[in-house]
Amino acid sequence: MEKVKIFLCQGCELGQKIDLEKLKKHFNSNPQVESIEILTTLCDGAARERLAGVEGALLFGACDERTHGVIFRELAGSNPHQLVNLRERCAWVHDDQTEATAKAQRLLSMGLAELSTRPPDQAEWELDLLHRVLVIGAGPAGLACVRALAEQGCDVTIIEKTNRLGGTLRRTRTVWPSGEDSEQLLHRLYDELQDELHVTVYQETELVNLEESLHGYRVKLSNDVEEEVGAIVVATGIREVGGNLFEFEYRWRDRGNFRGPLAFEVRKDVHPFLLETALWDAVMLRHEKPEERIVFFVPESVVLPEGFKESVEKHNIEIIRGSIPGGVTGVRGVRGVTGVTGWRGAVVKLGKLVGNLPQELAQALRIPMDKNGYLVQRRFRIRPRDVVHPGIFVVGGAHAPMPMEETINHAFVVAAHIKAMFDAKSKRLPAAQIDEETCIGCGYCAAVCPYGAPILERTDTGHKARMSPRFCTLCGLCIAGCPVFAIFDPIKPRETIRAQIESWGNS
Amino acid sequence: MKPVTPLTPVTPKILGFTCDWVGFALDYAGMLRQSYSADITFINLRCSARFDMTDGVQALANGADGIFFALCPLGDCHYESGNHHAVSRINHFKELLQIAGLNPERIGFAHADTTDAVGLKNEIESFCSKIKEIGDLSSQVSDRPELVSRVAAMKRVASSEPVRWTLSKELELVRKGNVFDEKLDPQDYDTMIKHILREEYEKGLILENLKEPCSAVDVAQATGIPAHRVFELIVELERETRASFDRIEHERPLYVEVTDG
Repeated sequence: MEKVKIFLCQGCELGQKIDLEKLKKHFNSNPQVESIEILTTLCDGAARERLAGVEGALLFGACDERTHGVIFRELAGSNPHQLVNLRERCAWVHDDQTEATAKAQRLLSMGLAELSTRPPDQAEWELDLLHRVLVIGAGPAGLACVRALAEQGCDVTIIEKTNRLGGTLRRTRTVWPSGEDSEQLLHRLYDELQDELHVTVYQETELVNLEESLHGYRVKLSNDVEEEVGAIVVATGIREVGGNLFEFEYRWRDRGNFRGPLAFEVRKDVHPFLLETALWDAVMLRHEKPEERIVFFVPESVVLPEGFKESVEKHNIEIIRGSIPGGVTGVRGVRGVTGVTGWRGAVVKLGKLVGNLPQELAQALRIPMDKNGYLVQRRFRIRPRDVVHPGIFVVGGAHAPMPMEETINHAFVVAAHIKAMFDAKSKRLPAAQIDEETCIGCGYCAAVCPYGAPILERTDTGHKARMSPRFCTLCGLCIAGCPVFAIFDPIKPRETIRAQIESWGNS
Repeated sequence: MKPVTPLTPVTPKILGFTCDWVGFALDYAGMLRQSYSADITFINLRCSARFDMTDGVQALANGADGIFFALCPLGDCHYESGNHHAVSRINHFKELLQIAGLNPERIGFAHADTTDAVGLKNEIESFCSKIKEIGDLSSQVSDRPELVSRVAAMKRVASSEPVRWTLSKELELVRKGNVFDEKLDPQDYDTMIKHILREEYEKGLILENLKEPCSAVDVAQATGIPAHRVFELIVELERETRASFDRIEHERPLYVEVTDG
């Protein structure tokens, strides 16, 4: 075992609050310690000069990792080092010098234990990804993302389930809330795309199989094309459940298809987004048909968005609190006007907008979804480009509900992030390791991991778990829970924690 | 003569576990000069779900009078659901302490936000003063070897496969359901875990006494478990090939622990 050199910092009140000389005396007699030195401060030029050329394991007793971690990493260079926080965890919180010194001694011996038991190799794993992207879905988000990526020189393959590009843009007349014509927007997105050389478009194609590879993912498409990509963008768009607003917009696109009075039926749990879209449609309709009767049937419990009432009154649209009297029977579509009791006219039901992400695809890509089909993503408003998993992104309408402008901007943001990720070769912590001999294949780790990193595989000797380095965040949930201690933490193994506890107990 | 131990120790030894993220709150407490008791020392884990019952028992074996956990607020874990698992593990660790005849109040935990330094400091302070009141761990048992054997039995429980398996699977079976899509009743499951913990603890105590060949009656005397129960468990241990028949002495069968080596 290599002997450790300890360097203690005197700055930031450490010298006054802790009896450093006493610590020095104590650790000088420790067989693990080669030397112990007290410097005025560890974060200045003098310390840098002193530490230049020093080799071997280094233990710093100074401040916290978050504020000064970079400095100590530079100071240590390629030597293994450990930073013990004597400032926030000791000197600044304990007023009594004797107590503070005793605690500093405990902290230092725990640091010593960690440094001496830690596995030597803890190189961070590098994501060396191929500069090729697969975009699933050729809706507005997909097309915008492809355009931005192609402009930056990435090779892009875009696959579309149907035989037409455009997605939601094909199903709506105008884009909410900018009011831009859907068709114009589609052409704007698509025409620019046609000149790009880096883009391959496959229509009527789906993702069939996905495998992780060293440089990304190996994907197999339903048209028998196989390729390796560095990132996958899921832009499968938005889907309406239990409503016909999209149908209404689509029919209304060819003006002649719609006549007669119109009712908007609002659900109790309507999303304000949808309510505003419907209002937008109603106002547009009012401009074209000034005489027609337009009514919103809104349940009592729904709180109307700010300014809703005013704009409704301004455009001579009625609001009736409650549901349609007598209910809606007969043809529920927007085309038919007859056969409807209670309300003699067309009815537009406002349903729910959810991400159009098939469950199998979500499972294959390990995108967390809830029961209602919504994407589970935390802190979306703060970090909208945040990845679900390294190399897999969800853009646009799949985050339903999302306005069109935001969808396109989101696609640009994600494209920029992908490019940055390709260039920076982002680094990650190493993954937990599974000892195949000890593993009994109980499936605990595979079931419990929120990231789906361990996969249970059938082998000749029964089921065995295998850890995917791409997905593991090294949180330690499976490490602590493994019934047979088969999973190993390469940075802070079980032995290190045990040694820390022991050295804490002995000091 | 037994050495006289003072009832209330001057400085209790308290070990703290914190995840890296609540560790920021601890550092923040330092920046705000929110001083707390120096009896507590924290070990950083990446996530609180990394806490393993074996680590807790290890801490007790190394003289911890109390163990404290600083966790993220529920639902705000940086690793999705880590602190839910941590809370369940801590609660079962408390149960194990109770089974071993130690005060479960020695284990405490608090949820703290990264910015909630003052709240965390208050929690730490109140836990430290509580441990001071409860007193030294060894003051609870008659003598030191008794404590050592109890802790050793707990260590066996914490690292035994059935216990680890049932503890780990709890949240999955109770919240998500098993392969038949049946959700198990949380209380039933808890009762089952308690039962398994008790049984494994008793087995652990027996095995601690079977390091040298020993008869069931002697084990019963040493451990305080009724003789018929000891015999039942020894039979079960034999079936699990963890104990075996050694020889007959004074017309009594002697048993011994089977070691791997």
